[in-house]
Amino acid sequence: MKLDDLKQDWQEAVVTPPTTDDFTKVIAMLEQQTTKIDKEIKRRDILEISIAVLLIPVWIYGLVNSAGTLQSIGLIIAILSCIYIPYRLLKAKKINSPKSTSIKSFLENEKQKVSQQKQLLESVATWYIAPLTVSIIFITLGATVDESGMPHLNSQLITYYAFLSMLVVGAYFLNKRSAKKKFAPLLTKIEQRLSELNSQ
Amino acid sequence: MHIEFEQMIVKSQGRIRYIASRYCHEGEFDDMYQEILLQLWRSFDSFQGQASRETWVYKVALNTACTFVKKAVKHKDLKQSVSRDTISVTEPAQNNCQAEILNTFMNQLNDTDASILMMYLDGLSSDECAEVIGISASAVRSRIKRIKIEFENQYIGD
Repeated sequence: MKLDDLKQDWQEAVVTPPTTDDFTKVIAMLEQQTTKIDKEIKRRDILEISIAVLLIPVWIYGLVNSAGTLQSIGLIIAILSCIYIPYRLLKAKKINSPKSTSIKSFLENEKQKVSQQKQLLESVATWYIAPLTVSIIFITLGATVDESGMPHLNSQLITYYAFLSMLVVGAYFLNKRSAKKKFAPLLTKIEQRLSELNSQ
Repeated sequence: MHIEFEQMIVKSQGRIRYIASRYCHEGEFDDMYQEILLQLWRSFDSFQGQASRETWVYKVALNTACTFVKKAVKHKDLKQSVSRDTISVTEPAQNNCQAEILNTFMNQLNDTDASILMMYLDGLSSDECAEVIGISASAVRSRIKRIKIEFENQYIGD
């Protein structure tokens, strides 16, 4: 038996519809689903940007009425973070790989996109957690400075920092875990397919 | 657009089902099938007149299948609709011995060779396969030649 002998059987099997159902309902559902997905993406982007944008005037107001240098530094870091964080998130989403390109170029695009998203999560400590934590510490500590400019830690603030530390460590490991679980297997799968494509 | 899409899906559902069943893991068929339908619908605009229907379906379906990750939140409504209205069989029919032989053989191939074999059997030319995969037509031909030799070595005399 030769492979070409099976061509006709194959064509009959894939071309003949296995069911004769009406697709109208499915298409209506696809349309609804597409609209839902687009709306969700739009809502998420708006939420991320608007939170940052809304916080900037608050930080500026705080800067104008700052208690001292330490608090001002914290507020400046917070303002810069509110500009930089949405920028990083939007930049990572920008790579769009249309599904109707060739498999090779689609996979190359996807590899770049997934690598970038994985790297974004892995480096979350440097671009998200660190600036926000430092700014919170400077702002709160700056509020306790005396006339000589020395901050004074009290028990409430120490408890607050302890909770903040736990939150920060938790967020860091959750992001690391997500990068490992969500993106690493997909990246391996894509790289494997690309090496299959490139081998003769 | 609805009618054109519906006609295209009716003509191509055998291919889509086969691709979904070849690339999915156990229990993922419905999810992958509906994800391919969704991606076809989403990129249907880019298809209009740009390529042949078969190459476009293969591109979108294979690209979706090879980067498919089961989502935690499923498209529940769509899933119910697809399952109720269109999926009476969740796997391609394997009602004859030749189809079984072909399935077994295809499962032994890597994903790229399986894609090329699918398109070859479907009657796509080397140039069309090359367009879908993104490699040269001569590379496609040499892969087909190798696949044929492998097949004949395994099933010669059957």
